Amino acid sequence: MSIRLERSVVWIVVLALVLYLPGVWWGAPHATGPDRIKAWAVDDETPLGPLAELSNIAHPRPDRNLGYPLLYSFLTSAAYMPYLGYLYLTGRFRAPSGDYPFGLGDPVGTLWVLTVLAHLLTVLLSLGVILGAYRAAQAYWDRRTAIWSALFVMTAYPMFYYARTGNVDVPMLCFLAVGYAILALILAQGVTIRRVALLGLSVGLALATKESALGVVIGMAIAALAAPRADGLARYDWRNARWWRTWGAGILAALVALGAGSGFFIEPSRYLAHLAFLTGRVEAAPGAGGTIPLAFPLTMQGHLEYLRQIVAYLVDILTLPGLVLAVLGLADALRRRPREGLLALPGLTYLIFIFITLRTGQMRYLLPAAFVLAIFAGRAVARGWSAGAPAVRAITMATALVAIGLSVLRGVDLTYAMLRDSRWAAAAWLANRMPNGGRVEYFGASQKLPPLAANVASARSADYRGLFFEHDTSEAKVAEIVASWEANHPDFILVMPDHTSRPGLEYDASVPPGLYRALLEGSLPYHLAATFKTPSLLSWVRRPALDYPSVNPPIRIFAPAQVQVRGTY
Amino acid sequence: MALLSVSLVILGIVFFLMAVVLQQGWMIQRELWAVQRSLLGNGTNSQPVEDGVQPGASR
Repeated sequence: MSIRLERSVVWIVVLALVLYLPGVWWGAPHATGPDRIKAWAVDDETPLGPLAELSNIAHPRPDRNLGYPLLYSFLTSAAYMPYLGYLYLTGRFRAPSGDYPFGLGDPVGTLWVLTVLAHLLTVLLSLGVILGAYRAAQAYWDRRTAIWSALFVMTAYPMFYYARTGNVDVPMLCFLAVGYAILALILAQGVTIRRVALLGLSVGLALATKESALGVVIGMAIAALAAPRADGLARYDWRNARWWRTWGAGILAALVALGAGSGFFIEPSRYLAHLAFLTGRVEAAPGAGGTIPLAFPLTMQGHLEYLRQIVAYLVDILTLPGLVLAVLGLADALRRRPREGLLALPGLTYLIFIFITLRTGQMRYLLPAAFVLAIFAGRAVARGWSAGAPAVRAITMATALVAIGLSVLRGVDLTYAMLRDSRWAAAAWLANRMPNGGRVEYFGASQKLPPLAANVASARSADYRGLFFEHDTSEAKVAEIVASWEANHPDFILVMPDHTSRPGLEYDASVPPGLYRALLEGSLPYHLAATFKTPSLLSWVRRPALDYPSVNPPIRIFAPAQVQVRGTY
Repeated sequence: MALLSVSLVILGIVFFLMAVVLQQGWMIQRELWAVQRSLLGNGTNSQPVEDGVQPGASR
């Protein structure tokens, strides 16, 4: 299993870096206070989450994040270590601490650098996703299919976002992609102990990054079990000792990788608590004990709506022409050689897995299935290209270019929105008007806020309980909030959406709708002073919404009625 | 295993170099804000420049 340094591989890597690197710094916090240390992206644990998880192994804190196994924390911390060691040796990180400023001489600069380092690690792992697709298609089919498959995976819409953040989705997909490439090799050339052990290693690492990889792993295992031996050994089944040695090696490699990567070998109780958290059996952890909104009920109507949602997300990820090509590629493969369908099995088992277990709508959850479909889209283009009929060739190429071209343009539009995020303009506007020692109040998650200066105090106007809990938005709450403003006299009030916002609303779940309406109508002591949202660069490409309104969110700043400023930026 | 070890060492060096470059970039940005602030002289916030976001700032 190796990636030969072919010219096409070099070009694919260069193209991916050109597409993904701009905006890799998006979301890094401006850590001028203890409530400003998290990245903007939802579920992006950088910069300090990985280090906190490592620290929690030695000194557990009650607010530790049980949401994920620990492999991503290990990888990110390893990427941090040379820099943190350098800071330590040069006296800028002398007394590490769990509280702001964490013993750092320059917490603003250091946390910015750490975040960008973590995001660069994700870019690196995204190259693994793309090259995994390339190698899988090359191993099973040919180089032309490999190039097209890599292009479809590279330009899949959410990759432009998740390849630049500290979410675990791309790291998990990287390990799955490597495993998928090994599976393709096994299906093409047969089973060997080494291949099965490497497959086990990669799926173990994927499971140690995020457990939803299990849906893909089930399909991989079934497909690999159906593959013949590389040496053509007759009577190769469970009655044969070599069968047990081969699959024993694979299972052992997977268990070792999972045990080491997830942290089970280091702190078994934490991993078991994490599994309990996943299955909703933990009440005392951040984000635990609430109800998951927007879940699709286990009814016929719920099933149909969930199915429709899944297809809609696949269209968003691959574009409609891309998804059509994928279906055609799969149908063609099944028609020519039904065994080629084994390569699609991991995608199918993943879809079944999330259909049964997840029941919530998130585009990123569809990435593993889209990865498999993208490879079959690549296969369809390669087959169409080599078709005898010129019309088939022309239609295939036109469809592929529309699909990839539209995806790239959507990626460019998203990148532009990240580079010109509304928070920067809002931060500059605030810095220019904020009195020394001023006070800003806001609603919802603090990580979404625009950068604020160190001498600006920030506080929530209302209790915030996160995504899984109901918020008090009653008239009494409105009166309480207005009374607190009259007592505290904030200089500015910020309202912007976050991951708790209901679809289409430009404020988070902790904002009482009546209060928001009153603020816009100007019937309160505060009125709308400024609105920030960078217009789309390419509005006609109809870029799909991301899972959360994290990028370039609409920011509304309200000021005391006597302050005469008003503008849209 | 030897190849893996060498690769990890190289990756460590790459991440270190990237961090140093990023830190230098950050310090240059901070200086630019200082220059911008002294030239424009606007804003009501008299905080130390390294703690604040200056008008028009973007990274």
